[in-house]
Amino acid sequence: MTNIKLKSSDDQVFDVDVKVAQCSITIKTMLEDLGMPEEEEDEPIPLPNVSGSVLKKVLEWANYHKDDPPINEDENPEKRTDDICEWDMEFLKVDQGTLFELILSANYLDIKGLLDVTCKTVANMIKGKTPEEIRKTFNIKNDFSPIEEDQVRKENEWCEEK
Amino acid sequence: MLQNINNHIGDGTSKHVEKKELLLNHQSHVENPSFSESNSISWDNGLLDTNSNGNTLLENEYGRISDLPNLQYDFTQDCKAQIKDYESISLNVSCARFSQDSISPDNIIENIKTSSNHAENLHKKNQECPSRLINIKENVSRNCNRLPIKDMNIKRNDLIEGSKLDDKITEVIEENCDIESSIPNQHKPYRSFLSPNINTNPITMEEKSKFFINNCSISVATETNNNNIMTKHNSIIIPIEEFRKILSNTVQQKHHHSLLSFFTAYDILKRIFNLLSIEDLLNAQKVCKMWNIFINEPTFWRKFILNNNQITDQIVDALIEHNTEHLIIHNDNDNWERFHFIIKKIVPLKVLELCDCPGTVVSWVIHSCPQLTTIRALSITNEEFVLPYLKFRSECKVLQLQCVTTMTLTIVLQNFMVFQSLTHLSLLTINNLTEQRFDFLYQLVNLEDLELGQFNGKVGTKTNDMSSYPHLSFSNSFLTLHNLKRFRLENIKTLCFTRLLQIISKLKKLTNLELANITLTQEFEDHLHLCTNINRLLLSPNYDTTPACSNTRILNSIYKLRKNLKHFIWDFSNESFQFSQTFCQQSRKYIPILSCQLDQNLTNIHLNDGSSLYNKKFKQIIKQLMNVACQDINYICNCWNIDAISSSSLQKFCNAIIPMTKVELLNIS
Repeated sequence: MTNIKLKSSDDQVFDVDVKVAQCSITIKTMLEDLGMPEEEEDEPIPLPNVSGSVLKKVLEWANYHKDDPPINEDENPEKRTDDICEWDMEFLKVDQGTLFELILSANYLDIKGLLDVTCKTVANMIKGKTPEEIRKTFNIKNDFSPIEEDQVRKENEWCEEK
Repeated sequence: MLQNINNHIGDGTSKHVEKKELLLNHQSHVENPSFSESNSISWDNGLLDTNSNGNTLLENEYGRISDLPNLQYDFTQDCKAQIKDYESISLNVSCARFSQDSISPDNIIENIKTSSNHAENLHKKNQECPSRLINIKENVSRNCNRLPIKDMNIKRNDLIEGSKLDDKITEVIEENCDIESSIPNQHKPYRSFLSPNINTNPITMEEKSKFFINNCSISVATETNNNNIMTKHNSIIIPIEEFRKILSNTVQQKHHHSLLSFFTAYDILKRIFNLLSIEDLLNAQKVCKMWNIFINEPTFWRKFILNNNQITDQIVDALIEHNTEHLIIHNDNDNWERFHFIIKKIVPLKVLELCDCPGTVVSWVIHSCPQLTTIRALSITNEEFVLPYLKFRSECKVLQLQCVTTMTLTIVLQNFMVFQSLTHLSLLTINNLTEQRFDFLYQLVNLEDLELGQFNGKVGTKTNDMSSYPHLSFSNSFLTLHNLKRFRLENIKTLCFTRLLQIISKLKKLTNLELANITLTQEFEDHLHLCTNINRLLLSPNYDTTPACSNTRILNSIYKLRKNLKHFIWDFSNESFQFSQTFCQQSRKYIPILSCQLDQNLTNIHLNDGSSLYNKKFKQIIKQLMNVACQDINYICNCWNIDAISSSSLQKFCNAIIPMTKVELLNIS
């Protein structure tokens, strides 16, 4: 079992099983392009967009899911968000900041499964909520002027009726 | 780029701005952490933080410094060029507030006024300057806890009139922010991409993305007459892909980082919004301007899954407005009357999929929605389906009908005349699939893909009786389907293979043949070789009677077709096979192929059923097979009697007899 070293933006170095690291297509391609690391003396792979604490979470996820079959890139017609497995649910019980960092890291590292499940989690936070509730959830300021808001409301009044 | 953008903003707001502009940057960097002696601070990528004690902390690469004195504004005095040559003047102002107490909004306004006056003084040197545009690079705080730092353009008039700085600045940001907004820094608590205004975020990507959207939309709008540009809520939006293209062509290297962040945010939000239903999208649209702009992207609106009772007038309006082309309708309450009334209003709709709905609804849709090009109803709930009579020629290209049980299809011959545009037709689970009923097919000369099938299952005693199925054969009317490329037959109990295969062999464009759950008879073996046009063949035989016999027939027939066959798929998913005794023997999966015996010298092969092998060549292959099979010692008994081989042996065997064909064995585990 070969290990490689990953270096986070805040210079923390992680010693990771290659198989786990290769959940990230970004790292996988990098390794393919550069060749596998020879011995332990190799320089760690720098990941300037991922902080240590987030990288730790990402690796925890990748370790659990390392044997998952690859996800089909085909467009999924069913917009399902209720198929998050229990482990992931537990894993994603984190504050919003961490959740967003995980999404950005999954996107940067190109880990489809993690990106999917985190985006689904965010979508679930939006679902079934009124605009005001959504703003509250994500701490978004309503930047519509009253006139614009009226205009948007008129476009779909039925939502308010519900 | 900056200049360009500014110019375009200028074009949008003031007609007098010319290309020249001057940027006066306040660049006095702090050399010394002793802030009390410094009266000006340049603050890049730093952030102002309130710690748990309520003390204000200023954080940057110099570390944290508390209790700063009042911030002074200092404008760089050395103008590097003659001001009168410039019509737009940029000032770089640093303003900050350390807590709500120490500096009030009024204070900030005052400060900015000062800066504006300063700028005006500069302006006065050039009386001809009509521009009221001043670029002010400054720090804005919309809440007291954190201090975002960004660059933007502010119209001076706004500032002077403005009593509430925060609102004004927000507006100004929305109107015309500088593309050179600060590069996201590493010190941020987290990078959120959801909102332009998250309190805990100094700079979010959304702010940037919004700036980009506004800026670039304006710049593109003034530069080109691109048809794809659309206008909404007084702002001009260009499609993101266009935007991406334009930017990648024009943007300078130094902006790449911000652009990357923008596209990351866009891609992620797109991913999230794609998971939302129509109601959620309509709600999310009202959250903030950026979400509104993003959600108006046509990609989110192309396809929806809805219940039949969800289709209300308001939803229909939204669907029409966003040109939704594809709807999948599920049955919720069996009340289809309202649906009837409303669905025909959705003019942009092209593809309609109906789930769990009665046949009457389907025929009604076919009748009243002539604009649909694809109609799929794969789980019709009742047994009757009447193809409606249409006065006009139908535009429908794809029509798929399938019932959850079985359905009686009533098709009046003339009614089908209007369906000449059809390229794909799928009629499955039809119980009255007989020759005269299918004479109508001859009119469908454009047909490329045809699926016909009977119902596979037991419904009552009547259909259980094999004899109730009429013998299906095909008339010469099929020969008019000269465009046919793929033909699938499903669950046909009795079939005249001789006739069928003769017809198929004459349809030269037909290359793809699929026979699913059909008993393959001797006729099939005898005539398949006629179909030299077939290069992809899928067989999923019905093993009701003699599995070994069927499999031997298949091997014989594909051997005869080997020269033309490029792809052969052998599907063992049929239930009757999965449960057959031979298959499950000894916990290993064996495929029965034929019963034969080799004599001791391996020279003569006798089939147990008394029939002979196809030809000499095949005899040799059987010998090869014996060699292959012999490796399966578990199953080959001493008398060289073969009646089943393992799936791996079968694969090897197929590869041996038809080496030029790609062979796939499905559902053998």
